Amino acid sequence: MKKRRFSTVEFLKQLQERSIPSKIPRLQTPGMFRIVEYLYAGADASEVDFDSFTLDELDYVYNEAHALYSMEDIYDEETERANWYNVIYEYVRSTQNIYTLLHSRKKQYAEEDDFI
Amino acid sequence: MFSIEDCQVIQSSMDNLLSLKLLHDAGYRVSDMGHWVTDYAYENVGGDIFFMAMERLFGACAEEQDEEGAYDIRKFVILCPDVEELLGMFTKEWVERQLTWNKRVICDWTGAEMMIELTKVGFLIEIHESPFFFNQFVQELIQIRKSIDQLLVYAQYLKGSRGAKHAALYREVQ
Repeated sequence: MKKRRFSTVEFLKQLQERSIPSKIPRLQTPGMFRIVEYLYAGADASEVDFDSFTLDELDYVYNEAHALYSMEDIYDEETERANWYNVIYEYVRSTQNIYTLLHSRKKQYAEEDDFI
Repeated sequence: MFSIEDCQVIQSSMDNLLSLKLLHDAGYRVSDMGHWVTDYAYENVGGDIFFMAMERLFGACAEEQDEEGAYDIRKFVILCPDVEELLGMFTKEWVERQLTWNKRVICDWTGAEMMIELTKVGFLIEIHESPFFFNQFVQELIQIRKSIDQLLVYAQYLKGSRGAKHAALYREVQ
């Protein structure tokens, strides 16, 4: 089999061509993602460092939580994009992607036999 | 990716964290307030963190038993020694005028309503309809606590020797 090289330059170029530019200015800061991380870690009040984020950042995430579209609100392509750039959505999405990438490393998928 | 239940859990958890952060920024200890991440959406209706915040801010707090026929109304009685001290020195009307507070707070998301009344021994709080989100109420309570602290400083000043003249003047004005 011929080996193919993965070109990052070409990849970034293609990514830029195919992506849809965001209409919302990106105001996200590391503090916001820290808040979402605390949420998904199920941290107790004693484990949270309340000085590591500001009230404004928390207020932003709180409003993002209310702006979240649930699966039942999503019915077409337009609403599918509604969650894009939402802090909570981005955190969950990137965590899932990183998990899949980590566990697919050097993994060989066995061919499944058809049972017919 | 998120079900409706997930969204509600995230919203109520963030509301709890916002309440804790407000208390923390006002200078209160919150590390012993336990879980703020809720496991299911209706867990937050009880307002555990709101209740703990009231206790921390004012002292003692108790919920009144439901009356027959009263629908979706919860009453809390707050016992605050500082209010008793203030009412021993000033008239009730004067204290009510000096406090910077809103007697009625309406939650932006659910339309639930909180009413505060000054009593002889503290406050009487009434919550109409069940609110899922308590942070605006906690914010209001912190505001009241701050203005009580300011009045206490003024009361201390009147008690001191330097304030004696001032106190005499105050009595004349009244």
